[in-house]
Amino acid sequence: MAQFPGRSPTSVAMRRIQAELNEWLLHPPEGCRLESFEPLLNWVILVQGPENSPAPGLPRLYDGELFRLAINFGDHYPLEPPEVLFVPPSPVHPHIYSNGHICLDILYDGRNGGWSPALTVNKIALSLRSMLASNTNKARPAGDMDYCQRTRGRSPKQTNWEFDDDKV
Amino acid sequence: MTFDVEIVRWHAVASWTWNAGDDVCGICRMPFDGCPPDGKYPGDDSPVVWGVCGHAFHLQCIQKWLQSQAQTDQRCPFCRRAWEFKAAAPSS
Amino acid sequence: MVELRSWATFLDTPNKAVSTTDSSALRDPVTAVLASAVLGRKYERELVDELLPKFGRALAGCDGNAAVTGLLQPALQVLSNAVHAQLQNLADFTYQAATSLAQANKALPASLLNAPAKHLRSTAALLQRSAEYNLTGLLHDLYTEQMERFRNCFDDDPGTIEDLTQMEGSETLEKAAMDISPSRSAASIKSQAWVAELARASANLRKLGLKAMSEQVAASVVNGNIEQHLQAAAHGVFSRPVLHQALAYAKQVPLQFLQVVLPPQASDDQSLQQWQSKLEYCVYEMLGSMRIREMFDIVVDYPDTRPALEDLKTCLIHTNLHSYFISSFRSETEARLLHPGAATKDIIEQYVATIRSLREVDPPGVLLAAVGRPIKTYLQGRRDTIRCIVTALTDDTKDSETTLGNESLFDELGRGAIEEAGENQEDADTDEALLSVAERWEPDPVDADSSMETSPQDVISMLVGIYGSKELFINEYRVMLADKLLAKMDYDCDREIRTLELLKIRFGDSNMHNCEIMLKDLADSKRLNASIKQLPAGPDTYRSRSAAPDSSVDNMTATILSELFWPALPQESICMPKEVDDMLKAYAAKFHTIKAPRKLQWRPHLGSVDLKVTVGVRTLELSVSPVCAAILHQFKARAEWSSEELSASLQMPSTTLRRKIIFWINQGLLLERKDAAQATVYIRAEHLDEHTKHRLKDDQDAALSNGPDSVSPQQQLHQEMAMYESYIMGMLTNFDDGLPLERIHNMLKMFVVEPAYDKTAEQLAAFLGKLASEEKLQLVGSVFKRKA
Repeated sequence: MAQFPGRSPTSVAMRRIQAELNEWLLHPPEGCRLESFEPLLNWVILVQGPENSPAPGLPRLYDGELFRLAINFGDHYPLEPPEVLFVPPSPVHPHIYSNGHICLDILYDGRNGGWSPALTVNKIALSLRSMLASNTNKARPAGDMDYCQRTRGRSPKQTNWEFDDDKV
Repeated sequence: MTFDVEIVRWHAVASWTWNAGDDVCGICRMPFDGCPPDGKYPGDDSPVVWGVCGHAFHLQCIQKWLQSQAQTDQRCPFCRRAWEFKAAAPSS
Repeated sequence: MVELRSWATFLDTPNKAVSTTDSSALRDPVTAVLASAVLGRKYERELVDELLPKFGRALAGCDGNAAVTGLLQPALQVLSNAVHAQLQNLADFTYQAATSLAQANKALPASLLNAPAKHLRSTAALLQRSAEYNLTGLLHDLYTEQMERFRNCFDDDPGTIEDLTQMEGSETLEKAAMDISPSRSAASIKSQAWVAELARASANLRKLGLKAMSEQVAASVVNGNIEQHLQAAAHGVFSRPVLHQALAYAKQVPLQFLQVVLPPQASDDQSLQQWQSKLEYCVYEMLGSMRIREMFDIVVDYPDTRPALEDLKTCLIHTNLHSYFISSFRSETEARLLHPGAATKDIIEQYVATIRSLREVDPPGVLLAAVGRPIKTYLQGRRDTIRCIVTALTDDTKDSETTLGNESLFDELGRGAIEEAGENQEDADTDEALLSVAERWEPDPVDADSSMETSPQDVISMLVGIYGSKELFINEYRVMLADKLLAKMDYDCDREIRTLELLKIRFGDSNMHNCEIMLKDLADSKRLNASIKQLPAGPDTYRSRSAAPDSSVDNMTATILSELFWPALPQESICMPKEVDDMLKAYAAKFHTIKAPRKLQWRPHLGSVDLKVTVGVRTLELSVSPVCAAILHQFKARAEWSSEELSASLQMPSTTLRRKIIFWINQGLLLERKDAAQATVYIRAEHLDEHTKHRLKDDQDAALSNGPDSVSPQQQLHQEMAMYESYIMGMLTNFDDGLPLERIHNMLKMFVVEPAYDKTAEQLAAFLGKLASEEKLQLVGSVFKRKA
């Protein structure tokens, strides 16, 4: 249905989120399930650990594990990225802190960020799942404890990320 | 023997399309042939524009995105190439 | 006879003849004589008339005489039996017999009445026991007859009731109805002999301790009289008020009658007031019940029946007839309206009239909620309900049949708009508004089901609410609007714009946005068409199809749609004649020149075509659908086509072709033949029959409107639901534990906005059932799951 002028930024965001929800329901990404989307600004997605190993002969690090991913949309979505983090216990991964913060450029805007309004939750979920699938080193990032201490109670979007080794 | 059929007037019905390939604008995810969230009317009032990279967006949507980015760093949301409006519409 | 005479003589004899010793000897013969005299023969009225007073006098003469007192009982017994016998044998003597009884009563001497209580009691008991039925019946007949005399007296005197009728509606009326002082003619009546007689008879009955019976009978007679009066004066009379006149009548005739019949102390102001209240209640209840029984017809003739509704409203206020109203009107409606023989349009009209009528009778809307529900439920089951409502609502032709009284629904739509604007202003004065709401508030009648929705709604909300959602209504309106707009060749939609403006006020701009864009498309198309016509033909504008001739678009106009905002358009494939195709391409190219990069996509089967067809010496002009035009056009260059060839040439399924070509066959322009191989062949006509021309005119509309294929409502529903199938399957993939119907329904409502999901849970259930039967889903317990 169509719209009319004088819409607040929030309802622009709402319309886009609604559209994404429709897309998700039509074509849910593999291995992901939408657990909750109420309120519409806060989604929780269940992500199955990938059942494949990154290469033949390598161990399947996350097979059988299940993670919760929280997506929190802001008023300026999609011009700004949503806040994306795992609900602890988060997957053990060199780019994922135990408090759920994820070091992945597409999740952030600003100087180093790779966010684009063309990205969708669907694409984010797929990216994260492939990030897990391609991992070979099931370990926390260096300084995990320290980072978690420092960022207690803060959004990952407030962290000044460096994405120099995002090729993992 | 005469048998003639003359068309005095043919009133036809058509629908228009921006012909923008993808059905929805990558930014608002609304159909190109509809309106972006801020638009009231489709068509002339909700124009679709192309970048030189070939990606299309509602004019209102790409403008908002570009305004939210630094002057020096204006990129296509899809391919991240520097954004530049394509002068004429593609005649595909 | 002789014995009777002798007994009469005996009675004439002074009572000295009756001694104590004689008494028992006398008793039996007297009884026997009297009995045989009265019962054994035909009644001789004169004789009894003669006897009774004498009997009375004799009784009076032997005051305290035990012997005579002993005679009294059997004598009274006989008397009662005599009266009884007369009633049975001679109905026309009723009055005389009654009078006789009254006389007998009158003749009962004061001494007797003063006699020991036991005599009185036994006398009364005897009267009642021996002739209980008859005494009551007798009294009833007597009172009825006297009542009638009262009525006639008043009828003859134009100064009483007539005056009151003329005062109808004036302020003095209320006063007149309250004024219980006897009127001029009442006073004159009381002076008449028969009235005095009547008064005496009832007085005697009282003396005999039969007061209760007398009053009971009088009350019943009075009720009957009022009922009779209402039957004559009010039955079927709806176009003027009758209540006040009936109240005045009750005060005039029955009340005056009661004043005569009832004991004198009943004439004091207080009990008279009580009787008047009783009579008024009787009028309210009888008239109310009568109107309730007549309610269906009253509704049918609304608003001419407003006076009757006003009366009924007052009756309902003063009585307790709400439950009766609900049950009676409901069953009447069900019997007379809610059956397969009634047209949906008529049911809706009656529903509207019901809403409007009941709003006058019962402003809080309690009755309406109760009696409207079955109509609403019934209409929900009719497939064409919404369409009929939309038609009724948006039909602004003044003389349309949907006009109810002076106001059509279209008018009401406009009026609602004004009221709404007015209400907003009122909101500014919050205190005042609240106060007025508080003042209007009335408690709901206790007999109404309090769980029902009682808020008074306007007619349009009620109609739109039949399906429980305005979205469904709006969607149906959109479909209708689309049909209308697509049939237009002149782009003129002023009327539709006006309607839309009203609908926007009622439903909000955003809900009507699609329709607004549809209308804007028409306006834009008109402008664009003019611009396109002005573009010079030439290589610049028509570069891409250089092979095609420089087609002119002079004979062409187009409606250009913003398709996303229109209802789904039927898709039909057809290959247009080259001449037409060139024209369409030229037009599209010009559009592209003006509106690049936008392009046109033709819906070749939509639109309308004016043709000039020449057959032999005759030329016809007619408007047909593009498909029909394309078919006939094929015969321009070729006289004969086999069904197969024609179907291939037009790229049209042969079944569709057959359905469309029938139009031309019916017109006599094409002929259908079987060739040697029994294949169907179509041949163009060589000449036209005389009557063809007339037929063409009649059928043109049909040809235009038979555009889209007709599908059954069931198929249509499934087609419409099919677009949700992918959503449902996606949901059930995401929620692989399955989802209950309710949840799926709510999720679809929440997520499917383009176009809005507008189905009911029942429709969804039917569709899920279909998916289950196709083995796509399964129902496990109460949840639907994807079939693995």
